[in-house]
Amino acid sequence: MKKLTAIMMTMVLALGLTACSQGGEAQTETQTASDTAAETGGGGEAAAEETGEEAGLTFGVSMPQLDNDGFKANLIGIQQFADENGIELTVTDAKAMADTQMQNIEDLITNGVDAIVMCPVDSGALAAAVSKAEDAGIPVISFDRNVEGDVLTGLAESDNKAHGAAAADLMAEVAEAEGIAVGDLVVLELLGTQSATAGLERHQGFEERAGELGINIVASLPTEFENDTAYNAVMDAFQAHPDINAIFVPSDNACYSGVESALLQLNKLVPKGEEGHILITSVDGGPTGLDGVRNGYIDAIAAQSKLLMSEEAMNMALKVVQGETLEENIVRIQPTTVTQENVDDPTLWANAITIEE
Amino acid sequence: MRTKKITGKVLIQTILNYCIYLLLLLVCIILSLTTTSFLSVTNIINVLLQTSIIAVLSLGITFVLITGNNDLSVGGVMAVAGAAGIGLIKLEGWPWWAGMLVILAVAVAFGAINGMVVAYIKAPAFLTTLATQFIGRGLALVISGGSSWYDLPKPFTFLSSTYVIGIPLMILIILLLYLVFHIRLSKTIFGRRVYAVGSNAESARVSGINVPKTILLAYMQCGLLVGIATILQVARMNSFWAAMGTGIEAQAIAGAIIGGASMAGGVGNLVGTFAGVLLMGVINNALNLYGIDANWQDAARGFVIMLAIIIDAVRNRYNAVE
Repeated sequence: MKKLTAIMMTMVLALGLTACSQGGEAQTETQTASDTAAETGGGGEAAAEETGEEAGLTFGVSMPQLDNDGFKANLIGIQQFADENGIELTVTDAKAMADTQMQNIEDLITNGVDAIVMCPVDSGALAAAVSKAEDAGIPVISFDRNVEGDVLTGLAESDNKAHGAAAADLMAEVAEAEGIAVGDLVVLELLGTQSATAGLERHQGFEERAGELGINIVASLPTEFENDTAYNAVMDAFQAHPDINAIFVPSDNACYSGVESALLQLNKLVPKGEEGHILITSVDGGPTGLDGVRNGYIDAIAAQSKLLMSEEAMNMALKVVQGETLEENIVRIQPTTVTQENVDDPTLWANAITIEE
Repeated sequence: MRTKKITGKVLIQTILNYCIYLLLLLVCIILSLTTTSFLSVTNIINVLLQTSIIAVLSLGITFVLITGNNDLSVGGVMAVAGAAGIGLIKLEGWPWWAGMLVILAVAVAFGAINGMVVAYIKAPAFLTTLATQFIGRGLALVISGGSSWYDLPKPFTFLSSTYVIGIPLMILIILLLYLVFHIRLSKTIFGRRVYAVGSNAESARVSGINVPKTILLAYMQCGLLVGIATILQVARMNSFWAAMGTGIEAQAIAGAIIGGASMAGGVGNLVGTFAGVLLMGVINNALNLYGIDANWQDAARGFVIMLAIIIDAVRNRYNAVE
């Protein structure tokens, strides 16, 4: 038994050694491969500059989790851009685990991708992985979420403050169109997770603009971006303020279902145009939000432009790979307004994922 | 006639016993032939680094498995130990070494709780450690408020960024740990007691072994290794995040089982565990290098575990017939 163990150990070691000695060759091989790639890239620069097609570029994509509608939409946007520009993609999924995402990024580095487009599972935990890629000469562009430590080449994220402000604007516009004076609005503001930028900045944007417009917020209650918490918040708010006639939902994708259930429970779920309708505006524009608009319960959404966000991130990556310098390395994406008129527009991200399925 | 039959059986047994190494070898050979990037120094270091945390956890769990118990708490304990140690460094300004000591102390304390409840109160290990997993994960959220802390003191980054003759310090630490604990398991009295307790607790007791104490020590040792794994993990990522260690226990246990440790106790060794962990790491790496759909990775891992369990069952039947 022991002898055999020893033999096996030696075999494993031997394998390791051959691996190491051959490793040198293999590496030089990849080196030359990338050199030639660089040469052809250099030779065909004129062609590459136009479309990026002839260069045979491969981008690594590190998704935080793919069991999420929002990120599915981001990936669709990335794939569309890649198809249009002839870029190959290697897509990895971190399944919401920061250490898995680090491994994925390391494997993308090993694969020798030309650039990495990613969204971190956790803003704090992925800085080391991004540095590793940047040190290896691979530019990293993040979308939707920032990575701490100033290590990214570029970032494309939603301007959350603008989204919150847009929801306030939409609330005033809809009220005026319905013949309600802005000063007569009695608003319940639901809050997202305040420790996350999305929650905090949407709140700041909404509150600031509401103040400018003279909208009266009677209650600001937490939802933590959860349906059940939102349900409780709405129930409680109507107990304290039965005269509430408008609600701001910070993420229809995360917590509108809870709001709708609560209104149904309160017998206040009335579609647009009928007596007793509660005016609702939201941010995000997820599938549930769009259904809310279709049913007439949500008046307007300041939707995230997720496809545009992905396109901007890919565009930055392509530019950097082609040797251009970025004028702006942070692109803040502005919201898209969704009402009943354009709710079926296929370029809205929530529609893009249903078409895909 | 008779001798021939026996040698045939011995051959099958031997193959079954070393199946994991043959499988690892086979996968490595296939990968070397079919990809350009697998057999490179950077990628091999890559795989070793990627499996390093699980390797340390599997090491501790192997001892616990051999005693006939199990430990599901390692991921939750990592989170709470990291939250306590890194929290004190980042929020209270404690020095780095004090933070590291706190990480180790918290992890050993959790190991002691597991061990005492399982060994002395004789509660089922599966449920006990499931409970401590929840306690650990919950306390980690209480301490950190769900946030992550980035940018740790220099000694942490030293651990993850230092190379000794071209090999990352972290890999050398893992190899050293495996060497030390391999000797501890195969050459010391404690190691023999661990096997004895797992093979037959009653006869171990009759022969004068303090069974509960042995189990307690195995759990505390597992806790210590969880503490070390936590330090290596936060060093590797240069940050603490509240969700760290989520689901890692399943992989750590799988590594030990694939490497030949038995859930029934009494069987297992660290060379096997190391190979088991490597096999999982190599397969994950392969799927990424091939660019295979991310969703297949869990399925592939499940397939390997299933294969290992079948081999284990067949081997046990062969040994039983003998």
